[in-house]
Amino acid sequence: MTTERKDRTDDAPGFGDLDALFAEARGTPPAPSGDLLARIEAEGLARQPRATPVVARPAAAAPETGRGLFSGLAQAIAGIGGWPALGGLTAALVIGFGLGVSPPDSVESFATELLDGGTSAVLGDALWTFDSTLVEG
Amino acid sequence: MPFDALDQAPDEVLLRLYAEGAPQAARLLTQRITPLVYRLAFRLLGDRAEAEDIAQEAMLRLWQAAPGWRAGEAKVTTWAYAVARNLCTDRLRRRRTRGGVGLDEAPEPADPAPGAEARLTETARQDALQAALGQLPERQREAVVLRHLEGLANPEIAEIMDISTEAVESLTARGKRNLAALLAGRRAELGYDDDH
Repeated sequence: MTTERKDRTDDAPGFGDLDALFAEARGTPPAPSGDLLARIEAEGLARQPRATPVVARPAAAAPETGRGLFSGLAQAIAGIGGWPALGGLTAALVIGFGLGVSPPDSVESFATELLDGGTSAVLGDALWTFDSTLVEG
Repeated sequence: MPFDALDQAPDEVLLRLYAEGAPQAARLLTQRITPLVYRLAFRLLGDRAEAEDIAQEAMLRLWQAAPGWRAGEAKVTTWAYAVARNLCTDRLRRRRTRGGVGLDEAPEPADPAPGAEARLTETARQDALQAALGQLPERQREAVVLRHLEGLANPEIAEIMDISTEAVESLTARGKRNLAALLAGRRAELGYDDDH
């Protein structure tokens, strides 16, 4: 209960007795029986949502994370996003390696032009196209 | 969280913990909220058995509301008072439609045995207060009980009763005036001096 504050009737004549009566009532409030409290608690427990088992899983997996090289590997895999992320990374590595060993023609001609000094011509064409787009809309 | 720490936790935190499956939260919420709704129901209905029904129903609604409770939306106690008050309103309406004797129409308790000097005990004084409360119009009774017996501030009462703070002030003032008039003729019985 919060502290009672005065309102506009508190100082009116004849209310002094009433305030004493209220104070007495607040001091001896009607209280629920122990039986009622027990019934309500039991009902609350019976209707309570069950705790989710999320907490139990890391505890079961915990012993495997404590062993040398495998422990570090598992942590590294977990750090990059787990096994799905590791799969993606492996695929990217394989494709990159394949492109390096046997590049397609278009990649090879672009690389040759870049290395032979044809860069300015390529960039010049690109900038002209961009400029035309700006002017012509 | 250890039990002692939970004991200090705000109601809203306990409700979230309840929804997450912490059994201690059910116990603590029962201990904290049940007395409030029981007291209010008893003051409004004047009947212990009915107050128990209301308290049980209000707490059932709290358990059901817990999983969807939105943080910061309302104080748990304000919400519980409002639920209990609405349940009491329904109960009083049913009494009226059944043609039973509602508290509003209940006769005053019989005068004590002859011998005006005999003063009522504290229990009897409280019975007299309860009987006088029962004679107030319903909304005045609610406002007076929430303000003067539960000790709530007017803005919280306004939220519980879904009215303005000014309306709460007006209801409380009229209720208190009516109570004083109802009890005026019984000051000697109640153990108060006449020269007050």
